[in-house]
Amino acid sequence: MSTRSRPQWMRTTLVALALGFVAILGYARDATTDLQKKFDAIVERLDKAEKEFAKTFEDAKDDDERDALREKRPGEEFIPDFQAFAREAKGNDLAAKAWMKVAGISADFGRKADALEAVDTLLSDYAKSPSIENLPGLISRNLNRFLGKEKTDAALRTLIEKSPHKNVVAPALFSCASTIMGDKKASPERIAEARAMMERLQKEFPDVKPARGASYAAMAEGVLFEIDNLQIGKVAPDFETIDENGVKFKLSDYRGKVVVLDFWGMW
Amino acid sequence: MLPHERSLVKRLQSQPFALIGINSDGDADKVKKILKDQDITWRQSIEGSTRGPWPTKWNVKSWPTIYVLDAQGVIRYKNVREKAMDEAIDTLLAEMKGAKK
Repeated sequence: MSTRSRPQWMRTTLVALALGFVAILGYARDATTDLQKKFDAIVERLDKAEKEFAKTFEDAKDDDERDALREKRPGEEFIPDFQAFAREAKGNDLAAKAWMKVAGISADFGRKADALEAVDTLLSDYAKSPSIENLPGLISRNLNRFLGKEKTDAALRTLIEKSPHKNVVAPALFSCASTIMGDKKASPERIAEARAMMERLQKEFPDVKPARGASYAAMAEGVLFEIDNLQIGKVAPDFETIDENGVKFKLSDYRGKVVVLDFWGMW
Repeated sequence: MLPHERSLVKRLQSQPFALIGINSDGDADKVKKILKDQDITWRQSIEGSTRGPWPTKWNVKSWPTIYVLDAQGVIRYKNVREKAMDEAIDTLLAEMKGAKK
């Protein structure tokens, strides 16, 4: 042993102190830790079921077998577990996470009543939670069919107003503005409002990104380009590109012809 | 879509009309193979993926997305399919003939 090492009693004391500290911390966090463990256990069971399903799905021989499997995909049976947990954990942020699971799975399985309960609870009790950054997208893309146009809009506005988290407000602004712009019957006033939301996104939240892909601000730029330049009645902005033979061409080369542009793929 | 587009291109081959595919399947070689297999005769813009330059600039989020432009390059219809696309094109071609008189 090196002569520079601390005496035995000092090391023992340090270890004892450290252990004591951990124990005190542990005691204070006990309730939350219990809930966390419970929540993790449900998520783990769901993950396991999904992984097993993915494997079976990969091994399926043909489309018929895959279609039959799809009917049996896991998820729905976990709704009651997450609901029960969310009620038990009421007030804790884990409850927000559990309601998010309920909302997501319910949307996926077409369970309207469960989906609406989850959204209503999230909006009334957990609108300030940092764990609901996926809620705006879920509302505008999946839950909108249960909520209808007006409630979808109101739900997104609630998040914009109430949430103190940029990771929630930014997607809420983007979803709200996109929903308005996707509405063919939207009035010019509403379109103008959607534009203001997109501009606010670029000014206030230039760096907020979803889990994958470009920032909301970059997506907003795309949407604004679409409103400004790609509406019926506007001259289509020119675009230069390369065809399948490596030949450059421009959209404006086709003036004098009726042109159909088809953005497509076989994938 | 493809069967309709094939017959559309054939029907209007002598008219001032062009169908341009903005394809997101992959590189030129891959697209060429698809064109051959699918008997596609109209010009393509090679985008490489759904995040290619043209769909990105034009904020294309759903596939397929359709724009119908008149002879002046003005966007006149969006996302018309099949019969509605035929009617849109015929209307614009008729407009051109009317304007010449």
